[in-house]
Amino acid sequence: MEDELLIEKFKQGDRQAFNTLIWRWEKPIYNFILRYIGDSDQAKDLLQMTFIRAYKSLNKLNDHAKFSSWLYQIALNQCKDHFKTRKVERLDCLEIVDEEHDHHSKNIVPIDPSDPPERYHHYHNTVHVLQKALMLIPEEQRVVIIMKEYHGLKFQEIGEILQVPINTIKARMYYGLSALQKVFKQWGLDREDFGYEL
Amino acid sequence: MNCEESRNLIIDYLYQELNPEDRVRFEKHLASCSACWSELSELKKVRATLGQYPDEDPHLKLTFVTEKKPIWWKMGEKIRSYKVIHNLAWVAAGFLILLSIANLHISLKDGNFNLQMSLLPSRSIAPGTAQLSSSEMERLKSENSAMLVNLLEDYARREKTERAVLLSELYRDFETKRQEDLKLVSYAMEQVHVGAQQRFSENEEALNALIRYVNFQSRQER
Repeated sequence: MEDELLIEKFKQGDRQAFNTLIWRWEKPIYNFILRYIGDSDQAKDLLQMTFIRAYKSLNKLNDHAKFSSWLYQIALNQCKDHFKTRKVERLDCLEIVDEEHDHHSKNIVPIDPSDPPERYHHYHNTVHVLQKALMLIPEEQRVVIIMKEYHGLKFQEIGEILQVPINTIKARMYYGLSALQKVFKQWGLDREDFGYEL
Repeated sequence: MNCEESRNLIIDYLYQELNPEDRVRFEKHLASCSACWSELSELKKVRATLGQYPDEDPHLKLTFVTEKKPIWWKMGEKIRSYKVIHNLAWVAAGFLILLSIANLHISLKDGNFNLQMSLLPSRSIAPGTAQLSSSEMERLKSENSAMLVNLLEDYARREKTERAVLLSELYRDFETKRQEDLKLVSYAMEQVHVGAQQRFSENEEALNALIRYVNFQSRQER
């Protein structure tokens, strides 16, 4: 059954329809939150809060076709609130790249310059390394990369969710990927056989 | 196409969101520009690396449980689900409110603000036109006379009590006055008695002196 139909049924009083929506969307939304904040326990809490918020305000959603964008928007707001209220310690390792003008100031500073890149091989886990790398880039670039790379959203959709012009989204994507490229290179993770070696 | 233009399109190309025309132009440029080719390869590598991050299962069984609601609530929901009935209910509610406002009666009498609302128009009775049944009249009459008798009895009782209080006050005043007068009389009599005693002893002394004088003369003559 399509999301639109489930939403229609929910609005007519069929609360079970919302559970179907949850089962359909909990995994993508959870992974979105997890990659954005980098903590699985908190991601689970935020996932629940996202669905509670969605449950409360689904009746106000007029364009049912935009349910997924709307849900991502709620999840994103939950994550932002989480960052604000918990004052989460963010790893400040990258210079903010001037997306609009400066193409050459993409200098990357490691988390701790005294830490040799070999240090990161002890993770023995691709997921941890990639999560760490994602947390190193600025939030506005990270969210675009996650939405595009892992959730396959169109740039147009991402622009609507973030309420930012499409060209800005593409610029963030470009600078985000470039920043990750530098991180991978610094950590020695830019080899073709990366996935197998770790 | 130059490298600057190519950089603007590289992200669209990377994610297959480039229109066919631009795609041909972009690929033509790539074939002749090693720098852009290299940059595209690097970005593809980054994508491939990011692709090593698989989706995770949250292992949560999130379910919204519908809370048990009272039957009247369910009926309300049922009615709300039928839009025609729902709308009619709103219209009826609006009509009733309008009716109440139409029969709104506001008055200000003797400084008292009075507001009355009713669904039906209130029957106003002109003064003096009230009609009561004979039994009701009898009942009211007997109630009035009983009330009057009570009032008179109460008045007489109060009058009697006041009179008694007044009399007792007068008696007390009179008694006080009498006691004061008696004291005065007693004092005067005591004074008179003292004066008489004094004069009596003076007379007695004079008489004794006279007797002594007479006795002396008689002894002289003898």
